[in-house]
Amino acid sequence: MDGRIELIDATKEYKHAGSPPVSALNCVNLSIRQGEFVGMVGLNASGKTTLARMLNGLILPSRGKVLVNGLDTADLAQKKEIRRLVGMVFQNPDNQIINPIVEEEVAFAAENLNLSPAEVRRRVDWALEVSGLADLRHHAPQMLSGGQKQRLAVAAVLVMQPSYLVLDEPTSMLDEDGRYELIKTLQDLNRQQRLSIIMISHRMEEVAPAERIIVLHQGTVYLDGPPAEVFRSPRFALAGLKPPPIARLTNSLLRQGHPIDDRIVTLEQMVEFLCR
Amino acid sequence: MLLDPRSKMIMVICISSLALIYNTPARLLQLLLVTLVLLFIFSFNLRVIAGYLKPFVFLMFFLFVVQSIFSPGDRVILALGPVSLISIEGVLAGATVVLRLLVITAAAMLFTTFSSRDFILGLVQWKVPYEIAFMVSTALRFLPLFRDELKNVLTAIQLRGVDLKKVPWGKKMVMYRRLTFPVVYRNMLKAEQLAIAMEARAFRAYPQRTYLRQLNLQRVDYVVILLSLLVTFILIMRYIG
Repeated sequence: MDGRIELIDATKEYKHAGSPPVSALNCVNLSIRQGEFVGMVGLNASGKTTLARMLNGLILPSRGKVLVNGLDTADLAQKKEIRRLVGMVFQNPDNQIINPIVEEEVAFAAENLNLSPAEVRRRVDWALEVSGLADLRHHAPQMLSGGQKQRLAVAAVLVMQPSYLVLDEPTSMLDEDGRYELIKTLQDLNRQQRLSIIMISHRMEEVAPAERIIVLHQGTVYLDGPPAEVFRSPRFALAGLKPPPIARLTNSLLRQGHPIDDRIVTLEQMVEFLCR
Repeated sequence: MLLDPRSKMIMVICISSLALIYNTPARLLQLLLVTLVLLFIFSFNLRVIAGYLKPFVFLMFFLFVVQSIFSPGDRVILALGPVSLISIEGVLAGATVVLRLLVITAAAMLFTTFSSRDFILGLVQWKVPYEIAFMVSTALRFLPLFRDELKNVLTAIQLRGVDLKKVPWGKKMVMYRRLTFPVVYRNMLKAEQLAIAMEARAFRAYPQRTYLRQLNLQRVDYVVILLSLLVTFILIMRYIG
């Protein structure tokens, strides 16, 4: 079976009585391999959230297909497996938390999968460990910081052992420390667990460490490629977006003829280059 | 006291049943005292109990006044010409309603001694379908959210220069009526987001689900449950017989 999510001519139209249908996504063709770290950016109403929710069948395309490891999201018989394969984390952690104890919140999805209590326990312990919340397992979620709450939301999805994790603006309600904690957890999960991360964000410095950036504009894939290429493309500015500060610095230095690696887009890469 | 949530639920049901059946202030006062003793056993102190009951004080006073005025009676205490306003029977009816509300509210405080998760587990282990148990628990969770949302909207109004204390009652009622829509709408959005998050986490994906933890009734729970049911049954039979 193919380890990838594929969108084939995926179109989504919202119909409102008395007015013509509004197209949120327009003939999108996309393939995301298992294990990739993908950043997805675009202005408001560019179709990011619609696309994210299409990836695990929460929204079905009006036309076209979405295949997850070869399974069609429109096929109701595959719904359970698709939900398990593609985990989702949303913007506001408070709106996702259901249970009064951290450990029980993490167990919720595993219990829904009808796993044995011993397997639920094993998965809960693992998910808490990899998301750095093992010491907080008996705490009440309301007592956690914003970053910890969002990592809890990630752990609550990880128990399903998904192959893909889709995060819809997960840092928008977090402070600087919370954002850093979450991004680091996601990078670790991607490297160590080979978990695909598909992260939607308005902050370019957050998606800069990704392997690939997809720019959505007016419901279409406007740009798709490695971060350095995407940030350098003139179309990036045409989509109304600004590259992160380090990418801008790299571009300025390149324009002035300095011998600098043109793939540098993050602070860590710049520090590493300068120290070399 | 460490008791299974189901034992506490039975106790609340028994006390509430008695409160609904008793119809005299004296009986309800006795029941209130028993309930308060139970709350002390479960480590509640007077300050905590008063804190829980405080939001109901206005409602209770209002009910007392309304019941006192509108319950007919022969032994008139206060009259306006030929029209009797307050009678002893009316005051007793008002006291009965207020005491009943006090008993049920105080008994319901026992629900705060265990988590919503234990509440669901308890009901599920009593063969209540998980979806219904979950729905009840989630509905309870949304009550404080409604209050918070209303507070936010009222704060937003005050930030626009409206001094709520100076708004006359009539206008205030009209304002509250207008606020109903945004408050309900915002809560519905939250409910929708929660539903999507649950759906994404395989809620109801399978007809059966498992549980990380199980509640186990201990000997003391059986004693408490049996005693509660027996005493309630005897008291009801004696009262109606």
